[in-house]
Amino acid sequence: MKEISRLKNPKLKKALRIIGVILLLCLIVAEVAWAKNVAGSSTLAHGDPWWMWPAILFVFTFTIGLIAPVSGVGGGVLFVPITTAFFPFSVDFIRGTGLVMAMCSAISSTPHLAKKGLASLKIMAPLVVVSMAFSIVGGVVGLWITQTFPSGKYYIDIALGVVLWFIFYVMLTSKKVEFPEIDYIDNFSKKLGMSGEWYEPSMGKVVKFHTTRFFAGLPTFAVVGFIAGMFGLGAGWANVPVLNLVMGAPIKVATSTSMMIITLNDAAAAWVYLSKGAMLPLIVVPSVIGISIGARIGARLAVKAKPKFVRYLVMAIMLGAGILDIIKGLGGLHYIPKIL
Amino acid sequence: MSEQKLNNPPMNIAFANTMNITFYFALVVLLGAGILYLFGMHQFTNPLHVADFWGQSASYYWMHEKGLEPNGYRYFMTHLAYMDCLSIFGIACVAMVPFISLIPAFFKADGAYKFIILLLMAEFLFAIFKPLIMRAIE
Repeated sequence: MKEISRLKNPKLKKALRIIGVILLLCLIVAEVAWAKNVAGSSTLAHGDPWWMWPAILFVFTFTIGLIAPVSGVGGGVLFVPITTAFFPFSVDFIRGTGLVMAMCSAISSTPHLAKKGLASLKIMAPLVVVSMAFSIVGGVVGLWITQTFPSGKYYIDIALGVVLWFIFYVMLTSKKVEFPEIDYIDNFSKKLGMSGEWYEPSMGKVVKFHTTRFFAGLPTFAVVGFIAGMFGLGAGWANVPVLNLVMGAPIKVATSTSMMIITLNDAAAAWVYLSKGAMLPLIVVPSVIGISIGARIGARLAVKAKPKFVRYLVMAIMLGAGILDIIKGLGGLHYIPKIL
Repeated sequence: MSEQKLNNPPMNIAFANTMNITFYFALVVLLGAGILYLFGMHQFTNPLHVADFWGQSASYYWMHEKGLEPNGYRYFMTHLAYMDCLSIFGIACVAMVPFISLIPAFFKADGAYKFIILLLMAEFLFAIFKPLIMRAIE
């Protein structure tokens, strides 16, 4: 069996590589053709052709896709704050797009992880009952603020900047434990059977796991659900440490189950944004294509790159984007001179 | 080792299989229609006008671009012949994937998980129908 896989895999890899390159070239040609098609015929009042921003967005999300797997930072967490700081789009459309991006990447990876036993519906379902409700509320509150108050979007900018600082702190201080030791299993987790197993190739055996302290993890998932819905962020930065350090899930199970949690949380919040018209294909389509292609290449780069350096670099960029979001918000509210 | 040899709950497998199939259908609608829109085919919203208002809130954008007040799904569901509206419908399809995946998981679940998944589906349906319910109340 091993011999067959050795023979088949290089061929498959080569074929996938060729398909990937062809797809990339097609999309680059498509972008250029699309840009040429409309160039000159339509320009914005201040001289920039309208297609310029979606084209830049494509390149930008492609870059995020490259960096995200190497750094271990989710694409949505990078996309929302940087786009808010530097792009001319309303924060409503940016948050809606952020949700679609996080949702697409989570949905594309969840089936594979669930079949391996790494992403567990048994752990996810009881937690998401709470976090999904809060993500819906977060989406409603976020859109209500921008649509009810004339300066609402600036308050969202400031809040996003503050949340980013918090995310930065969590990422800087949280540690990963490959196989946390569990000294007891609470009654609720035991009754629900919040456990599972997966085959670990590096150990050559099936590893069994249990989770515990369900009620200690639950409030965090409520807060994280709210933040995900309100700001359009995927929430792996919070899901993973809580599942791993508080509830005792092995790190591989925590990252995989976090993906499964994001599929439901972000999809529920996405309906709120859809019903309020906060999804524009002109912004969503280049972003989803860009990050999808970038992430496929980034996953290969992750094997060769130095993740620690890249991770700190990306975290520094995130911190900088947080500062810029606060400056943009304060400038919009006229507390400081408007510079962004 | 194949996943069949693992003690993987059937609801996990059912959830994964359904998600795998439905996601690609939804993605094709979202990206296929979106790319055709970007190439100028059957546009409900003119990209130049989109660019004029994309810096404003979503409600302001739709009001000034199309004279619509988006409070529900009529604004794109009634214009599915246009590629941009079809692409938004594709987003709705992607957002529907987790709910659809929960249905076979519900039938494979046992004990308390049947109730928990039912609860999740009810919440999800509330997220979908909330604007319609709220409009009916108003």
